[in-house]
Order: sequence, then structure tokens, then C-alpha cells
Amino acid sequence: MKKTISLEKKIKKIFVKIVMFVLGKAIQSASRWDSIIRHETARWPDGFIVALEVLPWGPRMSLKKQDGCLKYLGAGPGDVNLLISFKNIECAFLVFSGLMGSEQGFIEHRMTVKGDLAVSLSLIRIINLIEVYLYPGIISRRLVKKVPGLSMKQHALRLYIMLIGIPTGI
Amino acid sequence: MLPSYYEFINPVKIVSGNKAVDNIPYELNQLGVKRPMIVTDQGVVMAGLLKVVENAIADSELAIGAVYDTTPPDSSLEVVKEIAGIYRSNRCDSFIAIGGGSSMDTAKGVNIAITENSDDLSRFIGAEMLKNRLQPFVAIPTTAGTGSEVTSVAVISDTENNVKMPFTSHYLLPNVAILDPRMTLTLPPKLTAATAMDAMTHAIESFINLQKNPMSDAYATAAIKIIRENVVNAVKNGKDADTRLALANAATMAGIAFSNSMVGLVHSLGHATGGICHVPHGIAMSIFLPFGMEYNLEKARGVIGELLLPLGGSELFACTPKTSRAEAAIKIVRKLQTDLYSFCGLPMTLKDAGVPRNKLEQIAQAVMDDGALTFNPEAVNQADALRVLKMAYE
Repeated sequence: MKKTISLEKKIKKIFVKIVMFVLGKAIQSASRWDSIIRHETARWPDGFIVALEVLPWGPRMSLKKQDGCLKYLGAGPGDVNLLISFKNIECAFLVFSGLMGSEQGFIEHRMTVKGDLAVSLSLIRIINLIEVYLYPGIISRRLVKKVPGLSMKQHALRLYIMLIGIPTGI
Repeated sequence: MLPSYYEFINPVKIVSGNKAVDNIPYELNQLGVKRPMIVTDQGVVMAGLLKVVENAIADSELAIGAVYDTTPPDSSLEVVKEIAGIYRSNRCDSFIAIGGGSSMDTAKGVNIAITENSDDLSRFIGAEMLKNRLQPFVAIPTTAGTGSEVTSVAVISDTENNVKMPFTSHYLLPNVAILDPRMTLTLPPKLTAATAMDAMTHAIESFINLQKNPMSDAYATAAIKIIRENVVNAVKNGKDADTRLALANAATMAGIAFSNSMVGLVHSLGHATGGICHVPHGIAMSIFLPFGMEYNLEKARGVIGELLLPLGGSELFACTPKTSRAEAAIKIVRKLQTDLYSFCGLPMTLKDAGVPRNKLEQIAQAVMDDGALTFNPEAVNQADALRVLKMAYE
């Protein structure tokens, strides 16, 4: 029997793919400038690759630790050190659309983790911070347990990530 | 209120009752195996508990393929490799683990090595890295605390690189858990108290934290009630088989609960304190439990208040205003701590447990790397962890 993927799911896949690109570029940029993210990734081995994918056929994004920062690789290689797989597009959509925090997604078994659990927790903390940067307070308060008070420098970084970091990855 | 989504798994067959160990031949026969390897430790041998299992198997068609009875307190990679070699050379086809968390974890580690035909366990570190169903596994706990007989986790130490290797997979769940009061009758009072408080913490944290669900709640509240009703008697009158069986059941129920809804800050503090200062896990749990409950009061006051029913009974619950139930539940846990201190000297503070004050900062730092924090209702940073550690110090 021929399988037909619904239009709704196709749209959600495109949406998730776009958000993955934005998230990837934002993380790449923030990892150059944000001391909290640099502190988190300091313990990741150099060359470490983490991928987020939606089962069974994507979309997918990868990040690689390189020269002390994280580099967005797009879909990236098949063989990675840490693989976080969303069980289906509905699970991924909840998290990437801001309807659910990444931590809550983890708690609700919306994703599986293959690899080092300590690094996966570190990644979740990084994504939490990026969510605080990208979303207005009214949304980020729903997504993370505690919204950290941003310093003036972090407010400036937030603007930088949105205006320069995401388009250029710098 | 139901969570918007949850998952729950417990495929472990529970065999509970007096002389339940004598069912081992039947259970292994059901699993289609004939040459089990026994993994245990010297404490179990000295207490005569290995003999109980050997006697049960002697009267059957099964043959014990091999016995490894020198499992160290911390499961290590070297031991896993050694046991795997013995398993292979004796053509064993299944495992019987007898003991506490260490024997269980070691046997689980060997099971991975055998099934995956690799002594390099580092390939399987992390969550859901196992692809094959493991060899049949029967778990016989000799402490009522860890819940390892129903958990999908194993931790093995890589002593060469000085790291702990965690493995999580539903394949690590044993096939059968046997709860026989004979296996815990000889547990000394202090160890009885510490392991019971470990089980109590499993149950309470699984009920409070963010992954809680109606199935795990049912196991958790049942476990809390049984522990509360039996722990003091088990400490004072260790030879009471009914009390021992009750605690063994409670520990297993608490294990099922936390295996499905995880633990929180109390365990993060305990893991870090144990790792740095070698405080036994049960003692650390007992010390940190009331502080962990207090820390989460703002975010989880309602569910902590609900714990007053299994902790204090229906009359106290009914007489206590809803707004005061959470504090009343914490008060009962503190009273239990005091009772256990007076009956068997179970430490109530980190100072009593031999933790040097100058280690608190290091412990607080290590807390931040513990996965259980993710499931804690209240956010925790290093300063928060240090504050709780200072409160628990003396």
C-alpha cells in the first residue's frame, strides 16, 4: 500500500528544519561569546560531534566542538559521539516550536539519548540558555525552570545573536 | 493531575515470599536455561546466603556453571572482564546475581560483555546503546534498598581512568526478581536503616519530581507506607521475617517507581558526596532527604503534602490543614531520622558521616554534573547545592 505523509506533517518537518538551522547558527555564534556556554563546552572533548535528529528520516542538525567553540554542521555526518533522537515529528515540533522546553521533552521521553549522558545534560543547559536569548520572557518562562537574570552584556549578546549571529554564524 | 505524556515499563517478574528462592529452578526452566552463573560477594557467602541458593538449585536438573563470590563493593571493569572469562570458559547460559547493588551491577556489566561479545564496555556507555536482548538474569537482593533488581541501570567503575561508566537500557532489567525474607534476615541494624532510607528516598523523590506519573506514584506511595510501618521494627528486631519481607517488597516497589520517574536533588547530592567522600549511599540519602524535600517546597508543595498520607497515616492527614501538610510530611521524615539515629546510630549530619567541611565546595561542583538534577522540580545551581550542603553539615 502506498504511504502518504499528511501535509500537516510535511509542514511541521519544514518548520523544524528551519528552527534547527536557526538554533544551530545561534549556538555556533553564542559559543564564541557566551562565558556560560564556553564553560559548558570546556569539558567536551575537542572534535566531539552531537546530533539532533527526528526519527525516522530527519530533519537533523549537528554541532562539532572545534577550537573551543561549537560549529554548526547542518545535517552532519552519520557517525556522531552523542545522538539525540526525537521519536517522531510531533515530539520534535513541540520542542522546536517553543510549546515545550527541551528539558521537559527529555523528561517526557519525547527523545532518546545515545551516548554520554553528562554531555547531553550540558547540551540541554546550552539549549535552555539559547531559548532564553531567542524567546521573549513570557515564552521562555514556560520553557525553562528558572529564567536567569541577563546582564547588560548578555542583553547585548542577545541582540547580536539575533541580528548577526544567526545570519552569519559569527 | 495526569502528565500530558508519560512512559512506564516494568517487565520484571516479582517472586515474593518465604522460601521464594526455591523457585529458582522453575523460573530458570521457564527461561529455557540450564547452566546459570552465580555472581555474589563475600558478605553473602559469610552470611550463608549463597548456600540457600545452592541448596535450591541442587534439587533440580540445573547445574551451576560457575560461582564468582568475590565481587568488590564498587563494580569495576577489571572484575567484569574476569567474570566474563569465567562465564565463557564454563559455558554458562544465564546469571543469578545475589547481593546488593554491586553484585547486580557487576552481573549486568558482565551480561553486556557476554551478549555483545566485547570486553570493551566503553562502547555501550550511556542510554539505550544496547541492541541485543541480554542473557537471562535472575536477581536476588540481600539488602532492601537499592532496587537494582528492577532497574534498567548499571554503573561500572573504570579504575584505570578513574571514571564511573553508566549504562541505561531496558535490556538491563532482570527477567526475575526473587524476594525471600531469608536473604535479608542477617542484615545488621545500621545497614538495614541506611538501605531502607535509600528505598524511602527513591519513593519520595520519584513521587515529587517532574517525571512522576500515576503508575510510579502508585508504587511510590505503597513503598513509603510499608517502609514507614516497618523500618523501625526491622532495625530493632531484625529476625522478624514478615518485617523483612515487607521492606524487601517496599524497596522493589520504590525501585520500580524511580526506574520510571527518576530521582532528584537528594540523589545528586548523595552521588557527589559518595563519589568524593565515600559516604555510603543510604546514609547520604537519609541525611539529605528532608533538605531535598524542603528545597522543593515552593515548586512541589502540593505533592509533598500528599506524602503525608503514606507517611503519617489517614488520621494525621485528615487532621492536618492542606496548607500545612508538606511541612508535616517533612517533620515525619525528620522524626524517622532521629529514631534511626537513636536505635542504630544512623548519621544525621554530614559531619557525623565524616565529611570534611572543606570538601563541600567540591561536592557542590560535582552535583551539577548529575543527571538527576534534570528531574528535580526546582532549578538548582552550584550556589544552591552548596547552601543545602552547608545546612546538612551539622
